[in-house]
Amino acid sequence: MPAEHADPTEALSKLRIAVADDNAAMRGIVRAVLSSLGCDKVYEAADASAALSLLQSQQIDILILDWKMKPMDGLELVKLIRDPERSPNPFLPVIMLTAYGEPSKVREARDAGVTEFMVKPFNAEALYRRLAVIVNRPRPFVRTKAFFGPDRRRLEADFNGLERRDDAPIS
Amino acid sequence: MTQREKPIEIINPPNMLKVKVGGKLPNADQAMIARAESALNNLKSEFGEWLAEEVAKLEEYLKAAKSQGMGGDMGEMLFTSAHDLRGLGTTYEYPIITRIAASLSKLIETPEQRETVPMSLVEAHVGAIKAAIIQNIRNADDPIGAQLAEELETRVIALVGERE
Repeated sequence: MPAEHADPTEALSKLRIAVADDNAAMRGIVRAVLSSLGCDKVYEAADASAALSLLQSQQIDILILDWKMKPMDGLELVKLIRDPERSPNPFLPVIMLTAYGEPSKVREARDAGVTEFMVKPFNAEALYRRLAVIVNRPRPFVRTKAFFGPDRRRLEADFNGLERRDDAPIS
Repeated sequence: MTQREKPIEIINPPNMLKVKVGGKLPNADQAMIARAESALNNLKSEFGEWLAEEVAKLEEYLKAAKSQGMGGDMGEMLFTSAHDLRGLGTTYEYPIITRIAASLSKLIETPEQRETVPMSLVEAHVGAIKAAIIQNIRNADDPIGAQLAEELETRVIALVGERE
């Protein structure tokens, strides 16, 4: 396998990407950008349960997910995806694409098991960067009593903060 | 026992995506990004209509919330609509609408806030969004738009505080 792919659009054409957003225009915008980056296998879902059906019926590689949806929101879907008992693929990379930009929301998404976070409006370069990080440097997964998901410390190589992994309720 | 010895399992799944795409993805090349931005530009002719649809939804939910009360489903729908506009406004070339919609979202985010929100302030936000479209005020370079957005934000912060 070559160290680095020469043609990113050809590489991205091999991925199956699902886009779950209750706003049809936003799904269309994301699809248009993905297509121009080379992703032509793009699947759309208008709500969380449709997204779940997609994950069950297709070999989806990456999910791009809106947060604010009804009746199940994107965060609940991420928690379900990260539940090995109920999920078709608990290791699925999930990019949360949302209008929420507050740090508290980023933390909430990360704590639910989101892989990457992206604030609307987004641009093509930001989306490509997230895809490249997911392909090139996937996060290890962490399992504690309270959490299963991508390691939340990837960007904190010299972590000196409070150890939070022991917050797990011990059964 | 150190804290690190708590029951933590680190799992390194095999990187099947890198195998699938045939190697590491390079840094974005500018030609590719330009193509993608151009694809987005091709949708621009639709943006005016799509924005009008979003604002029409916002007005519809405001009207329903005024008659049914902000505490129920319509208050929630109004928040969702404002939240959508926050995400879409800038894409649709109206950053000022993203800003005003963000302020409205902050004002009515929780059911508790919606129960006590002054309706006049909600209406002022919706009115400002409509005015931005009618008067083609797209961003904060316009002094009237900037002043209006700032006034609304100040009043919202005074009511609900800053959000982290």
